[in-house]
Amino acid sequence: MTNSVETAPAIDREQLADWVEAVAARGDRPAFAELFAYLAPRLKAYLIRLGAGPTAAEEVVQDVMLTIWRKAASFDRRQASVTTWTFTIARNRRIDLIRREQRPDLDPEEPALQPSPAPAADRLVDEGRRDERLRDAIRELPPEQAELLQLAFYEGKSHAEIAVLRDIPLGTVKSRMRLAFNRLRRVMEPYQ
Amino acid sequence: MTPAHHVPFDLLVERAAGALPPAMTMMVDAHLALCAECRAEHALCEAVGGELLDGLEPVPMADDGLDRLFARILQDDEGNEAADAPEPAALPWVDDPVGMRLPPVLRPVWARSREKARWRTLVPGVRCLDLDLPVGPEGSAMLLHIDGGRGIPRHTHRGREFTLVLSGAFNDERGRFAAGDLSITDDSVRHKPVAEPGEMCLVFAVLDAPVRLTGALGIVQRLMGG
Ligand SMILES: [Zn+2]
Repeated sequence: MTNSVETAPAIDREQLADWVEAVAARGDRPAFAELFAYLAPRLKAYLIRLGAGPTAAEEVVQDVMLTIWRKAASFDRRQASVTTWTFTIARNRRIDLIRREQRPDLDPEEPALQPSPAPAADRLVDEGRRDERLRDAIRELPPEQAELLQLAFYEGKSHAEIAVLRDIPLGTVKSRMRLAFNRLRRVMEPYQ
Repeated sequence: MTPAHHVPFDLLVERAAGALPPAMTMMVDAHLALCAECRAEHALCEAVGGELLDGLEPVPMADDGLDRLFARILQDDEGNEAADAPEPAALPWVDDPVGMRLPPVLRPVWARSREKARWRTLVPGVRCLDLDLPVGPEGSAMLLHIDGGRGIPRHTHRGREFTLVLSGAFNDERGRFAAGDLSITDDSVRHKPVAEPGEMCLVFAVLDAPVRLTGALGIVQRLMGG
């Protein structure tokens, strides 16, 4: 096993999708090891940002990667990138854990913990370029808009919490978030 | 059919980011199941989440992380072969007039809730089932079944009321709400929803805080535990 993936300047998105498909098709362990090397350290960073300690974060990453192994066949590269798919699994796992804290006898098959409905498969094409353009567009957002996205997605903050945290009106949070997504939506339009 | 009243964009972002409480997560998901437009918007929000995940500075995993996972996979595979339980004979929603009208996302919580609580009459023509879902200390989540021509007495809310129509339709001062439509009211709105006759009017309601009845039927508020 090499760690070359992690040190590469930018991973080929098609490559990630190929690995997931190899896991789905034949339980390909070397492909899964590559996925693990790329995704697990990012997932760990995500969970730590959300307030998990390193040990707890590591355990949740294990759960998420196990789900990726098990559900690889449900991945569809036309619908979402591997990182988006992984993000939704990690987010759902986190919601699941929060709910278990509140209701210990939680039904493990609760559909709210399942991935949310996917867009129609014919909507999204040319997925490699689509992801690249979205990434560039996020990078080019004005700092005050980029910060909002980070607070919402990395720290799981609601708009109301962000307003209190940054001492700005809730309406401003909403309108900035809208502006950010208007830009991103424009960039993504050719692919929808 | 496309709903006319959608999930506001801020709720879609919060759903995608995982920032919503469980009952609200379920409500947004139930709307998404019925609305391609919001599904596309939500997919964009999730794609942003994916790109942000990709952009994070990686934190190294423990050296044995992958080995431990492979060991767990092996253990799981063995366990699963033994524990392949047969499907339950009948799914409880197939023959039930309420259950069959629910989007799949709501069926398990409905099935669980009706074992713990009974449908109770709120006001004549309106029955409700408390849902076994975690909500805040002042909140509640319920299914409401409203007979045609009947409705909830005029009321306001201390917090916000989210109502998703699952089947049938109701009308109030703001217009018509049919299957898939999401109605959001806060304490500035005083409204009196009335169900249309015909198809059973079934709604999924989540309240931030108890309803406050404003008409002569204030006594009913006691029935609602407010
Ligand atoms: Zn919608």
